[in-house]
Amino acid sequence: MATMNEAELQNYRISDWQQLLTNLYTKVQSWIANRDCAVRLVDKTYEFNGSGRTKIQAMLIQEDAIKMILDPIDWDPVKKEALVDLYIMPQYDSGARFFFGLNDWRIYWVNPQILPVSEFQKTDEETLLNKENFNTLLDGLKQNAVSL
Amino acid sequence: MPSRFDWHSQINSVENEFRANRIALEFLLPRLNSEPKELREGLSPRIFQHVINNLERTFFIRIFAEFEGCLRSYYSSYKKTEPMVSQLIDSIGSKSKMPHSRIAAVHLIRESRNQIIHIPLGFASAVVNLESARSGLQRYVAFLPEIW
Repeated sequence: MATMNEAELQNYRISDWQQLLTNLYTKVQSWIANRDCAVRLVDKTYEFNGSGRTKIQAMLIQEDAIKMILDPIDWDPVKKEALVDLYIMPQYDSGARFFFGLNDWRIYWVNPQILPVSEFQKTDEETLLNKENFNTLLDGLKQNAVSL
Repeated sequence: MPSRFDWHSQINSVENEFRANRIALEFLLPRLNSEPKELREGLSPRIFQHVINNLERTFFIRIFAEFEGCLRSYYSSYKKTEPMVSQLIDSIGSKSKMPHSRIAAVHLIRESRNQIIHIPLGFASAVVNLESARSGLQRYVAFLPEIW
């Protein structure tokens, strides 16, 4: 059986990370399609476990005067787990953190100044990131981002 | 080419490192107090309390250094001189057509950084708040071009 060398393996893992992000951004765009949001992708550098750098993409979202960025933080190619943060721009206040694991994106943490935890009827498990929850987050951001 | 979003991430990562350090030290200190024999190199639990007390000041210097690195990277893309940081802040602020309030906010952060560096502990009057410093620095950086 043919085996991948280290460079091929790394490319494979980076392309996995990029594909995961592309899928997330596509979902998010469909979830906010009914809102008056402007969306675009921007490049950022990702350091791959000290073994090199690559370009990945972050997603800028703007609704009215509120700007946000979905900022990829980390990716574990072995466990297939990932973290993406939602920051409020331009000050880069943390809004929420999303976690990918077991083939689903979940809301791992929400800044309590934006939304009370009860908004998501939080249980011991993290809440699934879906259309309803993402839009609830954006509504909370629009209401409270200015006071952060 | 450097991306502004990379610098945004690097500035935020300093604040995240500060939080991680604080959590780790607060977790460690009670254990060291109860089992001081685990300490090596002649250290006492008391020094760890000092580390906790000074942690925000230490990271304040680091976050400003990251910000200064961003400014010098941008400035070197169009000029070959190496001005003092206060001139750098004014020069880039003027070139980027920033509101005066943004530039003034960063000068206040710079002055706090200077107090931490030059004035002995206990004599400095600067109020050190890493979160608000990060916010002020990020708001300034947001005026720079996306790539340079």
